[in-house]
Amino acid sequence: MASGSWSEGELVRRCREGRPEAWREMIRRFTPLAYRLSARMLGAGAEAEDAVQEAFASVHRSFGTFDDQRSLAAWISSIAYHAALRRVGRAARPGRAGADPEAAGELRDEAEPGPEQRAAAREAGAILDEALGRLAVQDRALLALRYREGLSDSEVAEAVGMPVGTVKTRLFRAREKLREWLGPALGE
Amino acid sequence: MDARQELDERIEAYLDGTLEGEEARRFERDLVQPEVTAALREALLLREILRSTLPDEAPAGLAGRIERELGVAAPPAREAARGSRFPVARAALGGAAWAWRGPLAGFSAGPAAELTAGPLAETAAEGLRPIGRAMRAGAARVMRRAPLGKVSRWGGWLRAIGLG
Repeated sequence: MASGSWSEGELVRRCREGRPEAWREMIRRFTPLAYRLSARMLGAGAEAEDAVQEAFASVHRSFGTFDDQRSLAAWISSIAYHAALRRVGRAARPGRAGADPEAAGELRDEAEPGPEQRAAAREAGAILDEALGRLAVQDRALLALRYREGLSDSEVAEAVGMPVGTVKTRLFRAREKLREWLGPALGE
Repeated sequence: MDARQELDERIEAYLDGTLEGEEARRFERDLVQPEVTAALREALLLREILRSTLPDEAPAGLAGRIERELGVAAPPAREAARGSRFPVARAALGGAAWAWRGPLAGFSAGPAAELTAGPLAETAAEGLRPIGRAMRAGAARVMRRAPLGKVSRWGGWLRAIGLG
């Protein structure tokens, strides 16, 4: 059976057996998630990449403690979140702490965008970048886990080590701030 | 919890698909109110913006670096290793191809081409010398006996190996 089709349970079992091909599959599946979270917290770049490497080293070291009842995505998110949080002091400055402006500008669009559309997308991405940069780094992480990775409120709470109620309240306040700052972009 | 936050939570639950049954129907009835529709629209746009402004993939090479750091990187491809096996036999076959089809065939491409220089070339040449001598002797006998017209097909490569 190809590694890409392993269930989460099979992947966990094979990683526990120390199989290199299982670890390669683990890395393939979860590096994008870990990187997106780190990039949202630290800004895209070397710092975020280093945080991801550190996170996977920790995943590898502590895999024996992983509880099968948990979601692997939430567990890895937790490790990546804390790895990035430790680097916050050395990370991107306010206003750059969101996605890479080029990536931020590439809003999904089925049709091939023309130059004006790409320029507008880049500008929108830069505006979002700045708005996100004004939020606390933990709130940026909550938004990334909730809306980009699709984790539930309880999985987000588990990943960041906060009570579910706190996660909901912080998400609400973060959304309110973004609505205020992005008001024109949200379509008046 | 104020009214704004309550509405926000209903919208989030509705968009997540966790608002069920009568609660979902009640929310949909409330959509006739402009402020509820506007709030739903803003929430949808915000979700889409937050979803779309991060790349789908990690930067190229990051996964590979992690694999190497953890000591789980895949071993190198076998093809490169396979191509360097049995060098003397491959040289001999390359030499035989030369003897049959002319000097270019044995050395123009493939593994034999790699053996025209370096220490393996010496080994290959050493092995081929007796074969080469015998074939040149045989070709010379053919040249002496065959009419000119019949050797014209072979004349080019015979001259190339010094017999023409």
